[in-house]
Amino acid sequence: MKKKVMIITGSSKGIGKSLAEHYLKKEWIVAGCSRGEGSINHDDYEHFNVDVSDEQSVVEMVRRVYEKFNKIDVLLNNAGIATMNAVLLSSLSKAESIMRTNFLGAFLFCREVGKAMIRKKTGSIVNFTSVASPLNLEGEALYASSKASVERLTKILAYELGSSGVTVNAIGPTPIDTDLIGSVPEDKIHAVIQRQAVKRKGSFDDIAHVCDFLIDEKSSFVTGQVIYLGGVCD
Amino acid sequence: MNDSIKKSILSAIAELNEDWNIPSLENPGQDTVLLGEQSKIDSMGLVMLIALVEENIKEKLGVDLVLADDRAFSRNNSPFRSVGTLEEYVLECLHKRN
Ligand SMILES: NC(=O)c1ccc[n+]([C@@H]2O[C@H](COP(=O)([O-])OP(=O)(O)OC[C@H]3O[C@@H](n4cnc5c(N)ncnc54)[C@H](OP(=O)(O)O)[C@@H]3O)[C@@H](O)[C@H]2O)c1
Repeated sequence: MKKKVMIITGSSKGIGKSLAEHYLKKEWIVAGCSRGEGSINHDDYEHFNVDVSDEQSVVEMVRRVYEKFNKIDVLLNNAGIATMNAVLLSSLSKAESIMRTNFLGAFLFCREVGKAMIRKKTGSIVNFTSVASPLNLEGEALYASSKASVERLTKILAYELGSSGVTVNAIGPTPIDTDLIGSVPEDKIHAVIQRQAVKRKGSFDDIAHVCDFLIDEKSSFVTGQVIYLGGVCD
Repeated sequence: MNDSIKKSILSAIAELNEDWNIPSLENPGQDTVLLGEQSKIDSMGLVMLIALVEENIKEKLGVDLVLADDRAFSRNNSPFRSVGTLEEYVLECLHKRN
């Protein structure tokens, strides 16, 4: 059987790396990217040094993957950065960099991979949001706003691609131990967990499970949905 | 280069028309309408056409072009309205890159 092909952005560490390893184990071909070096050694893995907010690099990466395998079955738009600061103390450059990576990066990959997918009339896109958006977390306005934009992009793109066999959904993780939240004080994390229905940190397996469901061929009727973990509701 | 652009556009139309079966696109020429009131191509069809032309240009000329950008959509007369205008627009995009 022909192997399935996936692009995962931000695959050098954290959630993206764990998902890349998860799907390599399931015999997928994975193309990953990050600004820094890759950290996965596997025959079916290729790493691209790509900043997701750099249009030309994104275009080149997506077209190279498509040319090589003549399809892209799944896109996991995982790359992301975070910042914590009160709105009144936040700089314009920080706001710009958060939006560039989290929102514009997701947009560029959706656009380029979407064009490849509609040609084959099949494919799944999974974007990454965060519970920071529905919980309106103080100190996380920039991060949560960038993720709210990703959610809106997800829902509207799902409509635009609805008739072409391509699904677009988003996963909103709760706090999970990665470098992204390494500098967030423990009491802040504890406070977020207390607002969840299920009061614990998330795990990589929690995310992989939702991803498995969203990209399953049997989920072709599931699109435009944002699934928050831990029982957080919008 | 002009010949490669023309071939990229015509082969994109031919490939897509295998699905669409639009009579006016069976033998496309410079004046064949792609977008506008007289066109039978819907917005998703246009996106597919653009994606395919980009792919063919990459194959024939080795250039990663993005055709649907602000330059294309901010004009009064869309460059996607006919085969001829699309050809001119692709050429313009290629020149802008050099
Ligand atoms: N961990 C959590 O608690 C949590 C909670 C909710 C949502 N999320 C979301 O889950 C996703 C993954 O987070 P994580 O915790 O795994 O973060 P992480 O451990 O910090 O990893 C982030 C990954 O993204 C890459 N990256 C960052 N900016 C990039 C850019 N401009 N271009 C290309 N790659 C870039 C990083 O590599 P380079 O730095 O080398 O580029 C790295 O591979 C993010 O979208 C995040 O918002 C995480």
